Amino acid sequence: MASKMPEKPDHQKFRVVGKRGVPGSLSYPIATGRAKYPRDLVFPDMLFARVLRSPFARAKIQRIDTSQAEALDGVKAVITWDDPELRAMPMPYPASKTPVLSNQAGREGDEVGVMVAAESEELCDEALKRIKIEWEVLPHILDPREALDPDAPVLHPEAKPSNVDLVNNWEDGNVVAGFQECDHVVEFDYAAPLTTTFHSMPLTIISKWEQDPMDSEGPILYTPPLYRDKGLAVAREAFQLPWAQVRPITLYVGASYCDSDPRRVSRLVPLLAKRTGRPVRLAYTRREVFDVAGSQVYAHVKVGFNNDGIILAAHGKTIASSGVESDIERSTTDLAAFRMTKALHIKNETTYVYTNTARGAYLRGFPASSDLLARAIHSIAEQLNQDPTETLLKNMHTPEPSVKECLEKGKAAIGWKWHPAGTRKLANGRMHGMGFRMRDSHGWGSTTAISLKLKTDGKVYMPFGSAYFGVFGQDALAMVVAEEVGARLEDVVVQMDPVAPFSFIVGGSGIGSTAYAAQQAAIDLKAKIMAAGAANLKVKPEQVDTKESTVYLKADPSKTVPFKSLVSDAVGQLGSLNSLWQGPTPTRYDGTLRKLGPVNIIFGEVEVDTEIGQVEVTQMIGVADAGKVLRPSSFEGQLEGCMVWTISKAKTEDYIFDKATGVLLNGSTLEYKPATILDIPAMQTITVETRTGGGVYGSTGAGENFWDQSVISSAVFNAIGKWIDNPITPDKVLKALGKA
Amino acid sequence: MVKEEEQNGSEKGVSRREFLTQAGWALGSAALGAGWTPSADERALQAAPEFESKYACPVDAQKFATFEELQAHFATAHPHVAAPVTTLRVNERDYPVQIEPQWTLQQTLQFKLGLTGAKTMCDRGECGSCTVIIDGKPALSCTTLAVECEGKSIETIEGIAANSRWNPLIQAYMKHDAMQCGYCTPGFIVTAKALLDKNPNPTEEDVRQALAGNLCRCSTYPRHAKAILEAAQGLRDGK
Amino acid sequence: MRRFDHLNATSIQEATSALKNKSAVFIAGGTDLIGRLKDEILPGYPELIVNLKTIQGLDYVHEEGGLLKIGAGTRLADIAADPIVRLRYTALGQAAGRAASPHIRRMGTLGGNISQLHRCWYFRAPQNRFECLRKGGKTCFALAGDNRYHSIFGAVNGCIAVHPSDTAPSLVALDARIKTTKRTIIAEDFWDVRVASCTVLDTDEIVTEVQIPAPDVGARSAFVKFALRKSIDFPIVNAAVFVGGGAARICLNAVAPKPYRATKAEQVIAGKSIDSRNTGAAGAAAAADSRPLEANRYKVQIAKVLVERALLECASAA
Repeated sequence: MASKMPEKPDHQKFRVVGKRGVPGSLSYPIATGRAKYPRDLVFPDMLFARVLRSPFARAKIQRIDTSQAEALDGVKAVITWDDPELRAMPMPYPASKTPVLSNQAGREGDEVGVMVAAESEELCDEALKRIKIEWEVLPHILDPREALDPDAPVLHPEAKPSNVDLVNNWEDGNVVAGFQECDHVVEFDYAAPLTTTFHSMPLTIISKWEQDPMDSEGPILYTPPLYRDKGLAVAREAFQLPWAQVRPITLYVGASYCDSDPRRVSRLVPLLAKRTGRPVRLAYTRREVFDVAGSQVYAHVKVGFNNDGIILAAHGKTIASSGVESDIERSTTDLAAFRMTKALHIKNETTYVYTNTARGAYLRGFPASSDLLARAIHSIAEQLNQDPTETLLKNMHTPEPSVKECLEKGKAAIGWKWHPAGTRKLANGRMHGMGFRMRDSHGWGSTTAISLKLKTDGKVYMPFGSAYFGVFGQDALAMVVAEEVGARLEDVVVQMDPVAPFSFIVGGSGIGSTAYAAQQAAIDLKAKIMAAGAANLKVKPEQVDTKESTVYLKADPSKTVPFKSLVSDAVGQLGSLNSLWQGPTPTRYDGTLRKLGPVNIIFGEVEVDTEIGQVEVTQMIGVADAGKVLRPSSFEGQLEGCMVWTISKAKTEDYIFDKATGVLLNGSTLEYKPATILDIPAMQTITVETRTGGGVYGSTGAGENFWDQSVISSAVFNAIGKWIDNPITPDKVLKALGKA
Repeated sequence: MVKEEEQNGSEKGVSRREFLTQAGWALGSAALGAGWTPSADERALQAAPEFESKYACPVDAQKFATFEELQAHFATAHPHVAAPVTTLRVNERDYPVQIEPQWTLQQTLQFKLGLTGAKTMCDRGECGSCTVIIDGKPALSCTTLAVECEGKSIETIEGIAANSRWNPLIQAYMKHDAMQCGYCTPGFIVTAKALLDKNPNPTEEDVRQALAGNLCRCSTYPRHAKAILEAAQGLRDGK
Repeated sequence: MRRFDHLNATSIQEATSALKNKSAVFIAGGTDLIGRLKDEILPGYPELIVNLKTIQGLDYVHEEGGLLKIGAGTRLADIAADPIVRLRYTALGQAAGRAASPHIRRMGTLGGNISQLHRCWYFRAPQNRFECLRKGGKTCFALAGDNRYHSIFGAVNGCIAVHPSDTAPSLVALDARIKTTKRTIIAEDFWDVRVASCTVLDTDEIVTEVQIPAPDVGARSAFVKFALRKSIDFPIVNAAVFVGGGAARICLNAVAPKPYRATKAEQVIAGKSIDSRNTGAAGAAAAADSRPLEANRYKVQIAKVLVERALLECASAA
């Protein structure tokens, strides 16, 4: 759906929106440990479950004998892949035709063959050990570049004739002609490793079927609303239930970061619960959560530019990994970011291929495209001896207002003073470097519904039905409602309610958009409040307005009636004044980027200790144009979180496999190395408000667009004159410097 | 107001209201604003509840109404199994539990005592999310055997939250949005409490060093020092 | 975890006698053992875990008779915080203060830290996925596999894994003695490369005390650690040095299956002024006998530089 800018942004002054100081409505349960996540739940008659995991990167089960497992005391269910109810379930990965559970494993650790439920996890593990399996071990592919070799094994022959999962080729203009106009060409290779979102809570599915005394339809399935409620959606589909019979088992689910694959277990665990008649809990170990990753990317890019440094043409060829299977469309690892420039000739050839590694997923958005643009800008600047911030600005087709303002503020904050690469050695002997990158801050929209009720206690209730994963979305919405209705913020009560109209927030990126729905519902409610207030004051609605949860006469503001008094007069003791707005919200990311709204720019400063190959990030500044910030603290929190991700992924994150066996060698918190608090420098966030976003008040999304993988490598390039792919580990730095 | 038996929820089947409570839905706390403090009955609710599945046999999972019945069953049904009885002193209450030797403290807290604040992010002692305080020192409950905890004084987030002395710490975390998804938050707060107990006037660097074993993937790192230093000030001011 | 029986030992006799059972292992802080048991990395699994923390009298730090004496049950955090250790046995205090994370430093003991098993992601892959030489198997999988973190000084008994302890090289540099229930061992003789063990200890032998000779006035020591993250991580390379009385002792760790005493480097720097030229030469000498693999060559450079910097730190402290 194309982006639609709402009417000229109203409100220049805000009473509530944009203010600080009110904690989140769920912050108390979270801080005090009362918030329950799926992993925390314990039911008295609960069973535990585990699925068999393949020790091999690619293998087929030829024979399976579960008799000894079934005989083990305390084992309550053993279900093999050929169970008819499993076979009948819709395929979770239709593109590769991989079913919910099969006899084929596509990666080391793949769920395969059989699952068990027993009185304890130890019994489950014991049961799995007693299952006799004959494996046929097959050759595997780890490197996506090898997937296209003519003699590479075809990983999904029943679905595709080759290992090509998806092709995304497009061309704007005519690159052949475009390159002919160029004065210079820069060409580079880029690689991004497999990395994961690394969810805080290792996936845990706990499911139970219960008759609800208020509902006569049939047993209700309670299961975790993982990953933007997809955990519910796939279970509903698998068991062909009406939505009335599927409910979230918790409000809190831990973080999502755009990884929206609810895994096979979202279907498998409810089946075990159904068969055994008891609640069932399946808790992934941390190692098992390395099943999904963002794509591994190898790109070769050619960029043509003129003597001023203006990009005229760009051509990129990318191979990216889908992993063993994938359920999402991707438009990531391509040259889309170049559409923010004046270049009219852009050709993109992206091929996604299957490999026997982690399943491909979104990685909190689409970082790679932004990386390629950043690399181009820095390379062009270096070649022409230009300040890359100037190079960026002159290349933007829409430099104002957002790019210019973000750039100016960021440069001032970090003390930007460009030097050519590898030319500034500090007194401590280290090499100094600075880099930056710009991304568009698009916002996602969706179909959503917001319902508001002003009740006889004078409070506006907003039932909100969405799992909580940390973006304070409902709090931002409450501020918009308070603003538009003219209520005090404490009189707007968010009620997290699992059966409320579905109020879908697409992470931080969707808040501005969903807030539009809240605004529209609030405007409607305000009209009703004013009508009731006017009637109470015996005047016409156009003679009144609202503030501080009262209706007041504009001509004589001392004449007021509080909201509390209006409702029962208007609709009786048991009623409420209601509004409901539903529909597709206006902001949709269309990817053309030919219209540029708010952007965000992140600057990083590094010192490279060239003796030991260590990169020290000494400063980071994040400047983000919110369009209009709704809740400043959580907006900044998204930016900070992404800045830390930028550092973590640049320095230490990678999936490391043993080549011979395809076994994941670093599948632990310790070896995967997400950044600790000591690994981050002083960081500053700066909020800009150009009101050019597509959400309410010209706001835009916050979150997925705030991180990418290029800032640190650009800064390192500026420090030592070498481009090093993530993760920028000491072995690579020393090798680049000729010291190893 | 939420009643104590609803907080418990486990043995009685799950009615709608209990479900909502178990899931941690913020009934009533949506009105929280700056300067909020828990009332006396809220504090009483916050105390660790009696969690009845601690009377479940660790070997065959049969449930008993009292600890004595469980022990009697154990003596006759599993005479050769070593399943130590141990008393755990948690948040200043004594809990006799019968568990298996390989149970970690975190498992015991969760599955026997209904205290779920100590979280599993890694279960390998590599992330700090399971932090509790044992005899005044932060410890990783996933890497601590419950049978080694007899005679020790254990504090969990639930106990800290129920103790009004620590309101400034809870409030500072809330005020500074020092959480996002919230899964790591109890581990940080427990670690912070232990720090402030030992060092009521820490520097920012002291705080960062103390939290060096706590991972946050939402990356709220920049907020914790602010919140903890503000809490320290509040504690010194006697708030 | 799979079940095991457990004994809270109340005396050393009770502990050593229980450990005579071939399938018993001791637990100190548990910060290595419990993770390993959860992952079931070894082909066998202990039937009995013997808790040493319940033995009184193993937790102390004091000087006596010209020796610093540290009970094997002393927690790393307490060693790091001890003012005598920080002042006069600096390399050990710094090492104990840089190990792992603050939580683990409060749980982990000195005895456990030096007894921990080596680090190799093949050895430690869960469910004994790679039954290598150190488990009684026939192959070292790291040799042909990913060995970026492994030994730069070649194999010992066919194994190229590294010993990961931070305190170990400091004990060697400080010329420590390890006192057990059966004998007193010179620190650098304490480690070995065996099946499922990194020490010379018998299965029923436990460390009771670590002794370090009091340094002369004017002697200095330092410890430097290089890891990818600034907390939690094991070292990629660490280095401990001691200079005093015209002598030098230099020990590296995480570079070989046992802590590596850099005797050539010692000879280069002993008695010489600690300036950048001499320390550079010492660093180069420390790496002189390295035999790195293609993937871990970078560790040679890091080892050189850490030796230099540890020595320079001694000079600036003087």
